Amino acid sequence: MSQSVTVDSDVEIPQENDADLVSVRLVQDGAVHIAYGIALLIDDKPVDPPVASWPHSKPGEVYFVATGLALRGLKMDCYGRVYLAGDDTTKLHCDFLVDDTVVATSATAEIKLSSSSSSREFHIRSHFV
Amino acid sequence: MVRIIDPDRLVTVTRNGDVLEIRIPTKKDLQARAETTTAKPEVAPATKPTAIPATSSATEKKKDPLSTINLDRPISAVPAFTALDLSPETVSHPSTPRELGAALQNGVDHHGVLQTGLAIETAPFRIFHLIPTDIRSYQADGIAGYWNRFLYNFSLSAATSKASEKSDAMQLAIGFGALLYQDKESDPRRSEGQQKIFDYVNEHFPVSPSGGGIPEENAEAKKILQDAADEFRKNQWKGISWAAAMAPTWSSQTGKAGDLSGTGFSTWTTVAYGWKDALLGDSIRGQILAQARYRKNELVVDPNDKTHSAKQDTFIGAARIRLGTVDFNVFGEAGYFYQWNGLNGNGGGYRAAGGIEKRITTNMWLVLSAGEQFGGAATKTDELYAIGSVRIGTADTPQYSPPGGGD
Repeated sequence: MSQSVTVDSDVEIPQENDADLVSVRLVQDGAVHIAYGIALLIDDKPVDPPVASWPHSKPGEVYFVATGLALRGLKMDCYGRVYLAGDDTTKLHCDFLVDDTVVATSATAEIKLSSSSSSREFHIRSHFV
Repeated sequence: MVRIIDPDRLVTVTRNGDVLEIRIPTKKDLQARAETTTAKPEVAPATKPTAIPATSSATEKKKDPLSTINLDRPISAVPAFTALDLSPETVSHPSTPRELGAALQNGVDHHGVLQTGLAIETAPFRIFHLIPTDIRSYQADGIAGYWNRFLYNFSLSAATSKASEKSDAMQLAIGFGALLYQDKESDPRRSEGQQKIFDYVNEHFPVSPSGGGIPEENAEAKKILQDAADEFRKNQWKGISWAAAMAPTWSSQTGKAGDLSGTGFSTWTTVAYGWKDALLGDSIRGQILAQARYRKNELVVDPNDKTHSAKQDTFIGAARIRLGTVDFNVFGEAGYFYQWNGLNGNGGGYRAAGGIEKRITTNMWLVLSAGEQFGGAATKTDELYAIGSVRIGTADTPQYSPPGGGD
């Protein structure tokens, strides 16, 4: 059994955006097949409905989440799987936006795919503080 | 004639009447080398790679030029290494501008002297974020998608080597490589078959969100995808690929970067076509490659008369057919060659040959070939020859594999 690529980071949405609607997008740097979803978590349990549903969400697409104030104290998991029948490295992170402007960014998951490891699962977790 | 004395040690090769001995590494050597290779990080700007010249000296060519020419010029050949006849054991693949800078810095010491063994290959449009680098942009239809793929796969390479074993002279090559065309099914990022398998796995083995800890991966999904990747790799000869490359070269008699002067360039193009279905059984596949190559202003020195040198231009047109699997193949090749201003003046010749290529271990191939050449004014004629070599590759692929699999 192998472990997924998991990164955790604290994300701070600026206080001046407390009343603004925050959106999220997954940014991919490295062209490999990807499937993912995004879920908000309360007490580590996913909130229904998801922010972005598995598995047909596309990198770069923007999904509205909640106001900056409502997010504080919650967790978000951007989870998925990448695959390539070849060698490449893909870097994934989440951008948090207000009015199309990036106000915060998650940690980056760097995933190396090779002939001996063609797929990996990943979790990019953001803890809103 | 090729004779194996000891499978773990020596191969004797008769070539133009000379008997050559090639040492094949022991299993222990191979394991150590494989471990060293696999242990290297993909990005290793701080390490100083070792370059192995394919010839004892890049500028000391034998008078019989046709027999020294390697017709192998795979689609995935790295231009700078090929221009200097190098087979680097370790290549640095910078993935950020900072890593590229650090790798280049390793090529020159504090006194401005070029360091031997520089071997860099990178994708400049990716690392400087000059194009979108996500899968949707890569898969896009139309001209936008074509340009994204062209620039994504565009490579920049750099290499240095000693021009002669007995002097401080250094050579430098900067290479540019482009994939001009690749059909959809040959490209693992665009293949509809690959996309279907990935969709199937995601539908049947979904990943779930996690609030803490490091979740285990789904072993069944991983195995299905690994099998699919292995199967794709087995079939990677199929389809059409067309690549082109160019590599200007420089040399410095003192070895200092400030004394570099141009020594011409090397350029080539290769087209590969692989049959879609297996030709024999389930795994024996076939591929045809055609290439045209031109080398301008190559400085050559007669090894038997150091005062005799020439700046020659060379054209090579060659074709090769091969049958086999990803680990073993047989090939036949034919090439036409013409030289201007060579050590023996102008002249050309033909070469026909056949051989085998066998993977010994990861990144290492044993290549044996034999054939006959039919020369003109600049070559000896009608001679049988045999060549044996151990090729230490920079990728775990055969010589003629299309790009896109990450070569």
